[in-house]
Amino acid sequence: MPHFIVIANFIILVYFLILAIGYTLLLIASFPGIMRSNLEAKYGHINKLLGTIEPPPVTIIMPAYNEGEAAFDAMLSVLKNTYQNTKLIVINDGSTDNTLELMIERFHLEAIPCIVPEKIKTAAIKNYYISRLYPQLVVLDTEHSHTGDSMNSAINACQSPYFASVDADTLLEKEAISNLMYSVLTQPHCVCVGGSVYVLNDCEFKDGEFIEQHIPEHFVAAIQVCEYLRSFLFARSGWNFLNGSLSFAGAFTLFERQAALDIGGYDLNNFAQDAEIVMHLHAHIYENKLPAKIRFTPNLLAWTDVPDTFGSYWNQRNHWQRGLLYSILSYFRMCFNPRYKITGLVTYPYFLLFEVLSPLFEFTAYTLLVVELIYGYTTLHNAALYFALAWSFITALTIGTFLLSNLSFNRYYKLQDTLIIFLLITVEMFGFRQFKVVCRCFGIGHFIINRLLGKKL
Amino acid sequence: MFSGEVLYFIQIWVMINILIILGLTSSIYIVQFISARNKARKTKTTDELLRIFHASLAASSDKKLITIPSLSAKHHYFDIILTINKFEEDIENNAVWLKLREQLAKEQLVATARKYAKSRYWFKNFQALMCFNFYMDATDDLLVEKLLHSKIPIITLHACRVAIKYSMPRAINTVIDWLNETRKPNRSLYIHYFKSSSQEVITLLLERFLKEDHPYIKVGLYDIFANLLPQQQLLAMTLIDSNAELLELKLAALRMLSHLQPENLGELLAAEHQDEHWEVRALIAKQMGIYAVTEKANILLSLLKDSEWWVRLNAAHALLQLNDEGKQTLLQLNKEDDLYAYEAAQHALQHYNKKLEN
Repeated sequence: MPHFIVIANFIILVYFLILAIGYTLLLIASFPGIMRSNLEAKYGHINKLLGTIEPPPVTIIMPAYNEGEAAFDAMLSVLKNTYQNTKLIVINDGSTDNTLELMIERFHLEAIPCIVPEKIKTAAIKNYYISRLYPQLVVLDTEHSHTGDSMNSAINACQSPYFASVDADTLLEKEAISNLMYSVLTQPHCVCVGGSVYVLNDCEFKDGEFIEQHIPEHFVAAIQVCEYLRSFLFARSGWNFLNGSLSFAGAFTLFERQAALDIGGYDLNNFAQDAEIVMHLHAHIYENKLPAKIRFTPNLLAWTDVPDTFGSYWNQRNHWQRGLLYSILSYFRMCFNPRYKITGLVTYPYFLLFEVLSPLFEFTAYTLLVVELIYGYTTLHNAALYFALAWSFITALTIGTFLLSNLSFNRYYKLQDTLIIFLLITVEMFGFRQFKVVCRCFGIGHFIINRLLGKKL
Repeated sequence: MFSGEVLYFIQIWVMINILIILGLTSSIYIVQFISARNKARKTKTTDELLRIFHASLAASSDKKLITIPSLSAKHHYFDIILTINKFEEDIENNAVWLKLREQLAKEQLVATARKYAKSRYWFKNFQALMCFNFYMDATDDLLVEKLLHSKIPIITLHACRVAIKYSMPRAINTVIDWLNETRKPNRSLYIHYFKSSSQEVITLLLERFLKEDHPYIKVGLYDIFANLLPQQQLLAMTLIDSNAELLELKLAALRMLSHLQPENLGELLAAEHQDEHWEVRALIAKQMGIYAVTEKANILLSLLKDSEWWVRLNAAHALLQLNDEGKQTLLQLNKEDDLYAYEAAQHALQHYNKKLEN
C-alpha cells in the first residue's frame, strides 16, 4: 500500500477519534445544563416566574422579501405570544410582489411619519406603518437590499433593550419569547441567547398557532428532524459549558440591542449573517473585556420550514457552508489566541476543524475507502467494519440526543413518532450523510473559487 | 490497511457503540413512561394545595383566622409559593386571604426563605424573594439588600420590588443610583416598580430628589414622579431644571411641569417655544395640546411654521385638540402661503378624520 495512503488513514482515524471524544464530551457537558433548564422550566413555570415582575420589553424583527401571505403565520405566532411586552417589526425588504399590499389589508396598516435614528447605516426606509388591528405591530417598507441590512433597519427602529430575529418561515411556540427572556434574566449579563429550532414541515398550525407536531412525510425533511435535534439540543447546549457556541440559528435568536449596536449590527457581505453576528459578539466581548455572556437555551422555541427536496437541501447547505466559512475565517485572529480565552483556545479551533471543515475529512475518508477497495488494499470485511464504526457512533450519538430530548423538552412523544425517529437515525448513514458531505464539500469548493476569482460570497 | 490491533480496537469500539445504542433506546422508553407518571403526580400536588387554601379561607373570617395545617413537611417549598400565586389569580385582593397568607409565610415559609436567601443558586434566591414578598420583618432587610446586588437580573428586579414594597431606604437609594448607569436594559423596569410606591417611599424619593445634583439621576427621578400623583414639592426645582443645559433634563423637567400643572403652565411652556432644540419645541407643542392651553393658540400657530417636521406636526395635532377654532385654523391654511405648514395640517386632519370614522 502506498505510504501516503497509510498516513492519510491514520490522520483520518485520529481525526475521527478526536471528533468522537469531542462530541461525547459535548453530549456529557450538555447534560447537566439541559436537565437544570428543564427542571427550572417545568418546575418554575417560566411564564409565572416572569409574570411576577414587569417583563422587559422585547422587539421581534422579521425580514420579509416576496413572502406573500406565507409570512402571516409567522407574524401571528409572534403577535399571539404569551410574553406581555412584545413589539413586532416586520421589514418589507422591497418586495416586488404584493407582499406589502397583502400586509396592509390583513393587518390594517396605516403609514405614519416617523424618524428612525440611523445608528447603523442602512438602505432608505420608504414608509413606516403601524397596525390598527395589532397595536404592537410595525412594518418598515425599505428599498430592496441585503437581509442583514433589513435587520439593521429594524435594530435602528427598535426601542427596547432586547430584540430577537425571527425568520418569516418560522413559527414561534407560544412561550418562546418568555423562554428566551427567562434565559436572559437568570444569567449574569447575557447579551445573546439562541434557542432550539425544530422542523415545521407537515406540522398542523392555524393562524400562527401550533396545533400538532408530525414527522414530515418527505424523506429529506424528515431526516432533518434528527439533524436539528443533534445540532440544537446537545451541540450548542454543550458549548454553554465553554462560553457559548459560535453560531446560532437565524430562525430565532435574541440579542441585547446595545451590544448589537456596539458591533455595528449585521454584516452585509455575508448571507450567514446570523452566524457572523454571534462570532462578532464573541470577539467584541473579549477584545473589550466585557463581563458579558452568550448562551444557548435547549428549550424548544421555534419551528421552521426546512427544504424537502434534495435540490433545495443542496442549495441551502451550499449557502450555509459558504457563509459559515466566510464568518469563521473573518475571525481567524481568535484561533489559538489566548486573548480570547477558552473561546480562542478551544471553541474556535474545534468549530473550525470539526464543524466547518469536517466534510473535507469525511469526504476524504469515503474516497480512500473506495480507492482501497478498488486496488485491493483492504478487504470488504474491513471496509464494512469501518462503515459500521461510523454508523454506530453517529447512531449512538443521535439516540443519546433523543434520550436527552425525552428527558427534557421532548415534543416527539407519540409512539409512532419515536419509531420513525429511530428508523431515520438508523438509515441516515446509508446515503443521506454522504450526500450532505458532498454538498458541503461543494460549498467549500464554491467558496474557494469565488474567492480566487474575486467574486462576492 | 491497518494492523490487526487497530482492527481489533475498531471492532471493540463498534460493539461498545451497539451496546450504547441498545441501552439508550431502552432508556428512552423508560423515560417516556416515567415522565407520564410524574406529570400526573404534580397536578395532584397542586390540586391538594388549592383545596387546603380554599378550605382555610372558607373557615376564616376577619376576626378569626384559622391556622393553615403544616404544608412544608409534605410539599415542596416552591410548589407552595407557586400555588399561592395560582390561588390568588382566582380570589383577587381578598383581605382575609392576605392575612392568612402572611400567617402562612411567617410560620411556615420564612425560615426556609432566610436559608435560601444565602444560597449561591439563583433559583433558591428567587424563591426566598417570593416569600419575602408575602412576609418579612426588619431583620430580613440585610438579606434583601444583599440580593439586590446579585448579578442575576431577575433576582435584582425582584429584590427591587420587595425593597419598594417594604420601603427600605438604603435599598431604594441604591436603586436610584442605578438610574444613572449607562447600560440600562432594566432601567425602565426599576422606574415602573416605583408606580406602586407607598407614601413612605414617596417621602424617601422626595428627600433624595431635593438633594440630588446628578442630572441623569434627576432625569430618572422625574420619570418615577411622572408615574405618581403630582407632588407639588417638586415645583421649585422643576422650574430651575426646565432651564437646564442638558437636553434630557430640560425635557424631563418640562414634562414634569405639565404633570404638576401650575396655574401659569401656559406661560411657562410658551416661554420655551423658541428653544434652540427642536425636541423642546416639539414637546412644548405636544403638551400645549394635551393640557389644552387655549390662551396660547398663537404660539401653536407660530410652531406650525417651524423648520422641523415633528414640531409642525405636533403643533397641528395640538391645535386640533384645543378647540374647533384650532381645526378651522388648520382648514384655512393655504398651500401657497406655507407648503410645509399646510402639509403638516393636512396630515393631522387626515389622522383626526380617520379617528372620528373609527
